[in-house]
Amino acid sequence: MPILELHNVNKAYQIDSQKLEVLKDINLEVKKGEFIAIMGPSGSGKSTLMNIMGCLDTPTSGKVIFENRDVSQLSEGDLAQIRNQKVGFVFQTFNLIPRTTALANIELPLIYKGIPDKERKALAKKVLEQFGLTQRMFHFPNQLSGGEQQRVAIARALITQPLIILADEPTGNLDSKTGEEIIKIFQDLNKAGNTVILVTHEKDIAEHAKKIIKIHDGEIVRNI
Amino acid sequence: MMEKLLETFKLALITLRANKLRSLLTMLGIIIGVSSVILLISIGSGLKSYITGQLQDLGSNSLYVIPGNLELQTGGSSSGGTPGAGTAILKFTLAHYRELTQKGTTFAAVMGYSENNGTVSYGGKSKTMQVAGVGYQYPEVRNQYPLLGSFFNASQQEAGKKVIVLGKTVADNLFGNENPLGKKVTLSDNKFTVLGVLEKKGAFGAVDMDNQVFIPFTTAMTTFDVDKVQSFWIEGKETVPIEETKAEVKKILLRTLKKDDFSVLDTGSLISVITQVLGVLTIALAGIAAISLIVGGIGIMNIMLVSVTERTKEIGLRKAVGATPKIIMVQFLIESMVLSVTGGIVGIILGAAGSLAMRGFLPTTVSFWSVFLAFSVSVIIGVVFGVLPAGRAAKLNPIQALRYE
Repeated sequence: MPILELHNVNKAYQIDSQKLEVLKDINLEVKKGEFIAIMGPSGSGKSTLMNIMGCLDTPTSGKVIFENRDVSQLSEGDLAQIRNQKVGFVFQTFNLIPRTTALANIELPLIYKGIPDKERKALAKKVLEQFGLTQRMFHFPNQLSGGEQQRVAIARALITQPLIILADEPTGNLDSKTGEEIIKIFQDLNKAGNTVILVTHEKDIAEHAKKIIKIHDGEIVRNI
Repeated sequence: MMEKLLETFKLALITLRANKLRSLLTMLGIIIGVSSVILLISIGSGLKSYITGQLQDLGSNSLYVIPGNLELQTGGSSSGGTPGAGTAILKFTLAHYRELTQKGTTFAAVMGYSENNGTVSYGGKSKTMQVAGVGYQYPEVRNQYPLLGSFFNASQQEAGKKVIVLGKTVADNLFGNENPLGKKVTLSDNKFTVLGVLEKKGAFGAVDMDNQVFIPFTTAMTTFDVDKVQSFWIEGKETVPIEETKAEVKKILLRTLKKDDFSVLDTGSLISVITQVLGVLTIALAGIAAISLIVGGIGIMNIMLVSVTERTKEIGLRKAVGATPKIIMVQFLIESMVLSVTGGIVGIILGAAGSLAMRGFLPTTVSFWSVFLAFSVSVIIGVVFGVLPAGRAAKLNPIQALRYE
């Protein structure tokens, strides 16, 4: 059974008098445990697609069914709750909060989930250990290397044990060697049973996924 | 929810501490506003209790007859004429004094009264002080008797003799251990014979009541070259209600003077008028000080808006990991409230310290009421001026916020 379904999803932006169609009639479904790469050139709408899949954005028309719930019916507060508990985002630019320790950055989703301090710290430390970042626990983002920052960001995405992990060009700001390490992490996560969706424009990165969805000008052109 | 609130509060503290100087400068407006409001209100109440205390000290049977129409109606509206207008024009003559003395049936004592500044010298030392022209009944009326020698008597007053009674401070300053009785002091180029030294009345606030000298009001007229009596100080009989005494004073004076020429004040109405005037003054001054609170509030709003813009990306990220618009709103509201409330508390402490430092001059008090007011105003400022920036943060679109550079 799919955990996420998109039915006839369209997304259009009104820029001045011009209507810009970013996504056209997208249909796809994600099953538990899948590793999907969404591939396409820049401007193809893949990031918008990812945002819609992660309930960070809503479609202009069409339906998004997240765990049997029609997302278009939900309030902003409910969407925030889904993002908090069911979705883990990883961004190209890491997006760690500056002047905040690695530990505190990882704790963040748990604060919004309402987990008490002690439990939060324990969980965050466990995840840090899992990613070999225990030594970096009290370091600030500007004291970490790019790879380390991205690992902290992945740890933050994982800490709530989300249903789906969405990574938008996670290797885009990293050198190729570090990029491979990060991709390896996603592969391992998938092996451990996590559902991973990877957005990229690089073919060799996409090939690490089990399934590739190619998108061009807002339309799915190939579904491998 | 409590857990989230607590975390949000901690977060606000961390953020504000990360920008110490900025936070301090932002709070400064509130600190200055609150401390000056507290200080001004406490000075106002200090002045009030100082003046009230002094007037009460004069007794409730005293009437003051002053020139000019000074309508003193407790709570009532004044009926025409600018209060105090014409006070500078002296209206009373010695004839009025005689009439009051001879015709009055309800008066225990009638005194002419004047206040002038004069320099009194003796043996090379000279001091400038208040020279009170009073009646011979002054010691009984004021309940302050000579420590040495005697006060002047009725006939000395009648004749306008150049006699002087010294306050204790004056006697100490000019004579030291020397016995001043019978000595001649100089006042406005005239030689005065010292008749006596009055017992200590003590300082009231910063004013030393013993740093003045007393001469007959008739003598004061010639010494300071005026042909009019400044004012009258009438002591009513204990058994007669003060209103009756007041009515009689008016009746006698109206034979030769017009209604607008003079006013008869009693201690009670004097206190109520001064209290009223001081009350209005205090509120006006505190109101002006409160303007700086608004300015401070605008400062907070300004810096919160900057903070929201600076942290656009952070806000986007927080939303992406599950912060609801409400919690973002609360986060920024708490920040602005921490700024304004901390500023308020520091302001209260500074204002109270300032008021305490004024104690040497005035019996200032910091009322619970003014502290409560200042505190609630700073809370309100935090909310009012925080809502706009916080609302802006809460409304940010997470995707655009994440892309913000």
